[in-house]
Amino acid sequence: MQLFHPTTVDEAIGLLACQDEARCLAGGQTLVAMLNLGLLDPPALVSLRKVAGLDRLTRHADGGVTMGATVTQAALAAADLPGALAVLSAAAQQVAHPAIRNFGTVGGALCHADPAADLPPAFVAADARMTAIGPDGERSLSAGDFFVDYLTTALTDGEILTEIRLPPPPTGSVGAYLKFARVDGDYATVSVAVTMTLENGVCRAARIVLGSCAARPLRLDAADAALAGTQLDTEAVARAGALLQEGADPLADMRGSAEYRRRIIPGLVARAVEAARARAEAPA
Amino acid sequence: MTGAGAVPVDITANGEPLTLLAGPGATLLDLLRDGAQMTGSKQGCNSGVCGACTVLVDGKTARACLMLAADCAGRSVVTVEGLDDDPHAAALREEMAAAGAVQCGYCTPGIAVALTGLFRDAAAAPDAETIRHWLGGNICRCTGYVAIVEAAVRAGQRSVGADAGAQTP
Repeated sequence: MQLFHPTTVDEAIGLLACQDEARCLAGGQTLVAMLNLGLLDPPALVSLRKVAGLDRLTRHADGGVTMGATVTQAALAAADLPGALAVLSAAAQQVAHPAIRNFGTVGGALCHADPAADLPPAFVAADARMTAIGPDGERSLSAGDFFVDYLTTALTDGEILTEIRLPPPPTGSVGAYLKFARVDGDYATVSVAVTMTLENGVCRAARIVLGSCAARPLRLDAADAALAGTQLDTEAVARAGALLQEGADPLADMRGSAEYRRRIIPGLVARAVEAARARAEAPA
Repeated sequence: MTGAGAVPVDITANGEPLTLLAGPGATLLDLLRDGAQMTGSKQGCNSGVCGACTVLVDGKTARACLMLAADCAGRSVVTVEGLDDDPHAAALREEMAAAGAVQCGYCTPGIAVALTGLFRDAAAAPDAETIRHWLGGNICRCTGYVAIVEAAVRAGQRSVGADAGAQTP
């Protein structure tokens, strides 16, 4: 296995293009574990560690945020992002353990596309846009379209996720991330990422995204619509939870049976919505 | 790990500049244990779960088993062997011994390094809850953790007292 250290995105793309089955190495917190366990044996790794600028998190004047793919999970956890974007920091704070977050990257976690991981549902809830650069140039896709299947993204061969753009959070927007896990630091049995915009106690728009409940982060237009225009009363929140419960297609694994996961969805959705609303009511 | 495809890697380990040969797929843990003969860091799960290999990389707690050796060129690593002169670690060592916080000892180097990282970076005198959260990624199958947490609380309080004149959190 060869290891390359490009210093520019173009150089990294060139290296990926001339090596069949080559992989990008970012923080390595999942990739190296997979190498150690013999689950992967790529002929070449292209390390992004020395690619200039990819580890930058930029706050724009309008409240939007751009983060490079190799921003660490620890940096995102500490970023204290405004409004709805708080869902991202909240999710990053719950990724594994401090030592993992110190080196694990945002882009690496998103590209691994594990539906039980914390960051994918949070980035869908935050309406992130992903920038991918490959041999055919640059394109931008929504987080919703980025996650395709278990451990599968919309990136094509030779493409690299270079940065993630977050739109300015609307006035009155809030975000929360709630994870139900067996023990601190574990992958989610079920997780809920919520962003909402509230105006005088009325929910103008909401995005509810479940982790660990389908092959990719699960978001249903009907569930989001069930909250819009309401005061987040118990019935409206229960309706959204029931729709997500119906739409879920969870795996059964050591973290819970499919039936168990389905059963806890409405309760967790209600708690996550309440946590988000409490942020709106908290003094700034 | 040497042999076909090995590459020289320059790192600083416990303040000492070293050039070590890293084979393909070798991790920082392999490099430290087999290359530098620093066997304080332990291999447990080798997949980032147990924390027995915890070291400081460029000052931050890290899993040595999850870093490719060849990707560590230029990095500075501190292992449990490098904590001898650290005042936080010295207090921790004494408190852990006094509390019976060490049984088989396999997890102890990783826990000592993780807690030293906490004392240095995040909280000089952390409370029990902070310590429990911080040690969430360090598995001990002997002690039940209570003695470790109590020892860490006392070690933190001692070092703050030494630094700032008997303050407690």
